[in-house]
Amino acid sequence: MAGARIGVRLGAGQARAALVGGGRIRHAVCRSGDGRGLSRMLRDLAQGTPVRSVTWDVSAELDPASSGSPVASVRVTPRPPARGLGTGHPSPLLPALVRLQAAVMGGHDLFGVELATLDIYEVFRVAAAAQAEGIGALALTATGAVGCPHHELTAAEVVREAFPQLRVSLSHQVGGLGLLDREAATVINAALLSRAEQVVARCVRISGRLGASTSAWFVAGDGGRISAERLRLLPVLGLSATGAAALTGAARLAGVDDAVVGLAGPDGLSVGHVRDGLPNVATDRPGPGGVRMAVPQASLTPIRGSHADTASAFALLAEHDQHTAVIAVAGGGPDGDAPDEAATGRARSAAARLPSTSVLVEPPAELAAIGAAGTEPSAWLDTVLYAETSEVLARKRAAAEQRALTLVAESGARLGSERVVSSRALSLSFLRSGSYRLLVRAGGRAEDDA
Amino acid sequence: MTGRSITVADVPALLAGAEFFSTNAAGEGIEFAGFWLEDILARTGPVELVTADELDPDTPCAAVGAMGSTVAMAELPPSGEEPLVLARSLAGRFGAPLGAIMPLNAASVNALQPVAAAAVLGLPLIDCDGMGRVFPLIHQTTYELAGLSLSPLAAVSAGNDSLLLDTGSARAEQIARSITQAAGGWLLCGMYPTRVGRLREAAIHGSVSRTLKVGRLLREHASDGATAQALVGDPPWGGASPWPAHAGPGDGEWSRRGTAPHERLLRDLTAATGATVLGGGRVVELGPSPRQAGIVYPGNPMSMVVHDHDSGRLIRLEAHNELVLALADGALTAAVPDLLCLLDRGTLRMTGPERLTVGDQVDVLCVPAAPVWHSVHGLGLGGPGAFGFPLRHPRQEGR
Repeated sequence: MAGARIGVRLGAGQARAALVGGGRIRHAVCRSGDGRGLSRMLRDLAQGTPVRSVTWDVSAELDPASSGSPVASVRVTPRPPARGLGTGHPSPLLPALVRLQAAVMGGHDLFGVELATLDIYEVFRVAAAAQAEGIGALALTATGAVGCPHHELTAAEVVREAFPQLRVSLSHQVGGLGLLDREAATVINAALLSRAEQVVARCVRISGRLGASTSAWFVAGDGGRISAERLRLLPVLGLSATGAAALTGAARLAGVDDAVVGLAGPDGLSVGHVRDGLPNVATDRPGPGGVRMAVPQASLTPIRGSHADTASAFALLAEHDQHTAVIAVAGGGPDGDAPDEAATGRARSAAARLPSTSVLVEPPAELAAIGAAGTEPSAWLDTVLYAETSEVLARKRAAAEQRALTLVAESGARLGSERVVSSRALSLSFLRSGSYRLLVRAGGRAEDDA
Repeated sequence: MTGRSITVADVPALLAGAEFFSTNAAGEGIEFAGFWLEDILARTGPVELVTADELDPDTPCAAVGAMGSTVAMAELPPSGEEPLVLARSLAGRFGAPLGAIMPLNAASVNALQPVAAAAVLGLPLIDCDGMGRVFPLIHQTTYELAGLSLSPLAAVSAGNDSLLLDTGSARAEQIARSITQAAGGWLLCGMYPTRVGRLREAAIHGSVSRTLKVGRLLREHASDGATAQALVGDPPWGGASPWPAHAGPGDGEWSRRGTAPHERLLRDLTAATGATVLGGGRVVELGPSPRQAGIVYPGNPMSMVVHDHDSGRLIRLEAHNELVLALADGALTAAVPDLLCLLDRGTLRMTGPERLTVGDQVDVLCVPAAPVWHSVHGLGLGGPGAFGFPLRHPRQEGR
């Protein structure tokens, strides 16, 4: 077993790990969750096998409700709401995290045209107020920042120069189009910066104990993997990663790149799709506290009910899907050593309703941990462009795709393995003809791919 | 709606109904407007919904609606102060303050904007509209058909740029459209200033109630669907329920009841709206349309093909901002001004080309437009010819 990969899922004071390599899978559980126990678990799992990477699913450790810090939220718009009309958020999570809310003049339109000059004096005043209140992080969300981040970058520079101890999250680095959703994501991101720092440092330290050649990575909510540096900066990307990792694991174990996947648990099925090895994602799925975040997350559909109910529902979905149906036991049993009996029964019941071309996966370790070990670099772009002709559209689209491929390469993809997984240019209604929203997803094989 | 008012609790249904009557992608990504309106109504209190008959016929009123892109509005949300600017501008021309608001159209984001305007201005909202759907141009209205003047048109941007246009209807559309682009992608407009008494003949009555009614239906069925937004259930690995703020819990046991959830929803939608189902199945083609767009229209033409499972026919849908035509195996079966709507079988939500990908499963519905749209003048303003298609509307055949 030369050059194995390890995946670890942290959660509820426990860790479940899987070592994947040489066509074999081993599993381990650490019930204490402390650093020493985790190190021992990884060492025992490796059994002397060189480990190229440890990929951590830390989404359970990044719960903004329990471990988020207070944040100052600054919205940059050309006309700040005078009476605060329409600025509230329906989820109680956001008001709980935002200790100081402010609006500042500035912002751009979708195509990068400045709508108002940035009021840097107001930015300074808000940052000073945040610091005076003992707030440690500031979430900056400027309208149009996805197309032109200039005002966010300028405001961040003002804050960092005057208040170096204030940490700043910028919305254009966090999410895509849609100010309210992106602002929510930026607030959650800022609230998790301190927590992410601790979690990442711990995971990197523990991974490093396996040897200098073992790298540490983290599963993202879109099913890709990201570096420690990126998760420190953008912890929001690490949320809701378990489902994405489980989908990846199911497809890998089934030996398919494209599949409709049913993840069986004791109480129901969660259905998702895998395309070209990566989970299907959506940006309008609710995240923590039901908050939509304009951040790509694996798209999963929970179906509750008896074994027979969920089996027939999945059979119907599979019948209308052109790709291989995979049903997988997700989640380990309470002792962590054996698969959950109820989940296994549900999976077998569903598999019995499927045609012979389908695959039943009963993983020898926790599915999400196996999936974490198998994650690969990925990138996602959501932007707006203007193209008068189809030739210009093709050129601009190719440039955006190249940008996504570069991001994949920067995330540790092996040279030449980068690929565009999906690329859609959507015509934007009611804007001048030639206005498009471009959504690009790219992936690649990791350097440590065995 | 509680009694005769629209409250915070009505917003999710209003949003779902607004998606239905948007006739495609115009309903894409308007959820932000739901949160926004809920917050406004929470601060201002409910909006009174009245019929035109309940008001003094001399009451000054005007239509409120946004023109431009919902994507642009999601990125640059209204400040909530815009209706005050519109009301001031129009009151100056009336010589009296507005006494009521009516929707330009009770669909897409424009089902919500007039409610917000009425809330901010403290005025009643008249239960009617001028389209009964979404049309791309602000003069494609029954107000226009009845001879009401679109101008003076008051408009305001999210940046508080404001203008008052005094010109003809088509010209106002052209000028405001070009300003929309420069103003950040959308404008809130106050137009068709008139007296309530004129609405008897000029408006489609009951439009807001209809949007709410259909929205409630969709919400009820959403709790029956096999989707993340329609089903509650913890993922197998535990953790928080992925429950969206705008959806209610469901039992997810539809498979026991013998009928697929989309079939039950279709049955109820057709009963509620008089719609017919043109077919349903997998999307097999989706992309830009090769046909040339008329320069008067914003956006880009698109087309998609649905393979009808039952009949094996191919249903081609031509879209240009909205779904405009449906052809089954090459024969025209439905066209504007009738509404073409797509139901996503997976999510039990209305959908459109921007949300769909090849392989998705949809049902195609055709909802008849208000009768006035089938008149000669109505078809001239909102029929296939107005969208550049040299075709006769199916209802014109045999005339």
